[in-house]
Amino acid sequence: MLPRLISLFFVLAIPANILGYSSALNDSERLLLESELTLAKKPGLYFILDLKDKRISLKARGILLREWEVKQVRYWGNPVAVKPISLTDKMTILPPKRERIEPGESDEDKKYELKALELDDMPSSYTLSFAGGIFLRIRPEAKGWTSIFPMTLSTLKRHTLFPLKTVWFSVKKKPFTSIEIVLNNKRESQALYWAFTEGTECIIF
Amino acid sequence: MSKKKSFVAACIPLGALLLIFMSLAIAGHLIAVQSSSQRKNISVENNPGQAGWGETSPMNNDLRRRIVNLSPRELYIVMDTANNILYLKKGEQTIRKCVISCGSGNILSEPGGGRKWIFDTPKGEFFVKSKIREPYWIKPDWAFIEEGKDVPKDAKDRVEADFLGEYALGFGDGYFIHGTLYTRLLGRNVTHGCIRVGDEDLRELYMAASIGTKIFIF
Repeated sequence: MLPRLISLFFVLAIPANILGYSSALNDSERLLLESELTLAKKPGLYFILDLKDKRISLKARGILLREWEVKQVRYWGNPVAVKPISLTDKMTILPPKRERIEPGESDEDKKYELKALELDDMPSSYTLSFAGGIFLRIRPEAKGWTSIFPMTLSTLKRHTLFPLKTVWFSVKKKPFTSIEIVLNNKRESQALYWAFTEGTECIIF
Repeated sequence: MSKKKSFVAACIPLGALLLIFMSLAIAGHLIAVQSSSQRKNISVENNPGQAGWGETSPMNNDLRRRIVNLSPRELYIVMDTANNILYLKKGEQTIRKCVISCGSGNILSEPGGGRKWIFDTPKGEFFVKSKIREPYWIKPDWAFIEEGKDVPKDAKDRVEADFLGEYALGFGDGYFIHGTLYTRLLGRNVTHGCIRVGDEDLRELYMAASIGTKIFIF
């Protein structure tokens, strides 16, 4: 009798679980699609940070313009609601500096001397700050012995600073979310810095 | 003995500090783990249109269709200003890929204060507003200031021929996709915000694009 009851339980429970799961999936998918539709209707670029599938997409009008593969993701703090949020600030230790043109110096001899802000001048480790206390810390995958110091710093931060910040914001009852994103290489990280401009809207899910 | 005592006395506050710090760190870890597990549940649920995740609802299919309907049906142009690449596209298909030159990001200030220019290529969504054959460059004020010359009062003194190539596509606010004399600088960020293209690519772009063709710049 007991084995039959157990079998019956499983026969009934598994489809019910699948149905519930499928419905939740559809609901959250709807939230994402509704948010994207809001952004795609506006003229402008937007980002979708798909942390589950580990990719960052730059889009406009629903078209995919560029995609970044994410190597690793770590979360701290409150979960993020699936809705458009805008970038308020890009923070880095050494922000790229624009060159100043001195009037009159652009004679023909200097035409091929490049003074410009290019991709190589962009930082590869930085923090993107969004409205609602959301911080995305972006860095490339650490490789070689030169990465020992930044890796140690990052590990220390992860195990000391972020737990303390989480407690602090929790006590203060303020929202705090820190997401660490590791990209494949330095150039990918620099290209993402280049593409993100203040005010750009983004959906994180 | 007294040395041992003073060592122990010094260790007590240090140990207490370490204990407080460790407790806070552990509490932070626990809160973060709890939050991130909630976060993981959310992200697991959010997996749009993936095979094997069950049927999507008709409402979601409708939303997806509405997003797709917003994308251009005709040709469109995508410009990657970081890598200085232009793509002529239709749907997901790339019809032509060209090496270009975009804005240098440099700053020019008018001597004695006053106006300031930042030579960036604008980012966002635009469309072709004008198509010009044999374009003349009407030099703006900054071009004279950059050269250390006085800004002319007569408009005729601003006109410069054979500088923008055979064709130009205007996309607003004085920004153009045009040709260049400095072809060896294609692939570098050197312009005052306009897009420089090689002769052959420019001809193809001019023929393919029409007024209203969408341009996406990032």
